[in-house]
Amino acid sequence: MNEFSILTHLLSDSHKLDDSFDQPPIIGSTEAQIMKALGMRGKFAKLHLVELLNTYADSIRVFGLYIRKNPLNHHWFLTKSSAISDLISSNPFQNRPRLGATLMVIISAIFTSKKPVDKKYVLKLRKKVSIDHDLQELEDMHFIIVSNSTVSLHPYLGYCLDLEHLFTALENSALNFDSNQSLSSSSPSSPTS
Amino acid sequence: MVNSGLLLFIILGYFLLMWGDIIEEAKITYQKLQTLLHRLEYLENQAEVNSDQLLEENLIPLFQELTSFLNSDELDLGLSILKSGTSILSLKIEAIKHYILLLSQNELITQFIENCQDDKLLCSLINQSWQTPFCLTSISSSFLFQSYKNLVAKKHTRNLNSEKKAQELTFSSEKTEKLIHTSSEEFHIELLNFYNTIIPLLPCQLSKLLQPFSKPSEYFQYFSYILHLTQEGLIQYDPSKKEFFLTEKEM
Repeated sequence: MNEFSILTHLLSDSHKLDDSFDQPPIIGSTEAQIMKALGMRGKFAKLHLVELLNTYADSIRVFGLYIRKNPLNHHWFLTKSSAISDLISSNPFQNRPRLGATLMVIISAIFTSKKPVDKKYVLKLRKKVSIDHDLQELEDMHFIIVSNSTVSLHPYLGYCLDLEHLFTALENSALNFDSNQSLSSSSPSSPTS
Repeated sequence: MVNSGLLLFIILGYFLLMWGDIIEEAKITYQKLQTLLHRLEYLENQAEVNSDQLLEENLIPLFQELTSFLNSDELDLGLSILKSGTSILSLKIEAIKHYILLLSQNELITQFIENCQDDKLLCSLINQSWQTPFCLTSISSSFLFQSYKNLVAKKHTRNLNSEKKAQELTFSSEKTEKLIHTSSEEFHIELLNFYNTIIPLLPCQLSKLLQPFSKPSEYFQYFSYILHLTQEGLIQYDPSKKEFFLTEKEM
């Protein structure tokens, strides 16, 4: 049980770096940090870690908690299931579709180009007069990093968004959108009810 | 004067320790195999919910580890691992297929983003994937420190127990009595025959006493006879000359 106590602390810990008080906290721990804290060494240290994380994940599932890995900074951390989370209060995009859509476009553009994207390109995709205010707000929320003329993702976003789930949903939406467009283009004279 | 019997018992102890090491090694190998199996089971579970992570996993070392561990004694466990391994491999291939598909759909996604101007639809994708990290900022550091100390103490105790077990194998004067068990009358006759055989050779070195016995089974059989004769005090070992010699005691 002591391993679990330490693991709970390591995965739920949030701390700020000394020189970045205006930055969001770093949540959870890397594999190396966990192995060091638990004194896991040697060739099979990682195997033992995986085994421990597996057992731990099984134990905390009953509390509605899950272990996730932030793909943007490789930290393992804990998340709450939607059943026990107040998603309305925690999600800043619930009543702000424009801001959410801008973030979605930025994520998609970075995902498809595999590198930070130009602000002008995001503006072009959004087809708006200006997106400066959106970018400023998203940067204040620590979801993106705006540097000169480029936009990249902030590692903090990886804690708030299940990126794998997001890409699957995006892929499905893109396929549905494509098939709907194909249908409408193949039958232009079909009556609309 | 150094007790010559002590040296012989140390030799016997060495063989016992060797046997203990073999047992320990087998135990460690079994534990490693079980760890490997648990890891594969974990990957299998993870693969069902998170194919992205599976893509990052390099499975080749797992199979290499498996082949280095596996022998006929661990066949059952090995088969379970292979079953899980191949299952994961097929899942990984599916994940790679999915990833390639996703990459090939870059254009489709870009087209979707360019053409879809429905903010609600785009935002709904974000909302569906939103999650809340679970933080315990107010967890007691003293409790954790105590937990850590308990963990260290537990590991220390475990090590101490291992050392204690190892120490039990060293040879104190009381325990040497039990190390070589007394045997049947038939055994004593054989021992006496052997004793009579080596009397003309003594004093001499161990290698000379065991020279006629080339087969390993015979070698160890007569080596144990020498230990019995030493325990009985019929012969003694002189460490300075590295020789066995006859004592005044008679059988």
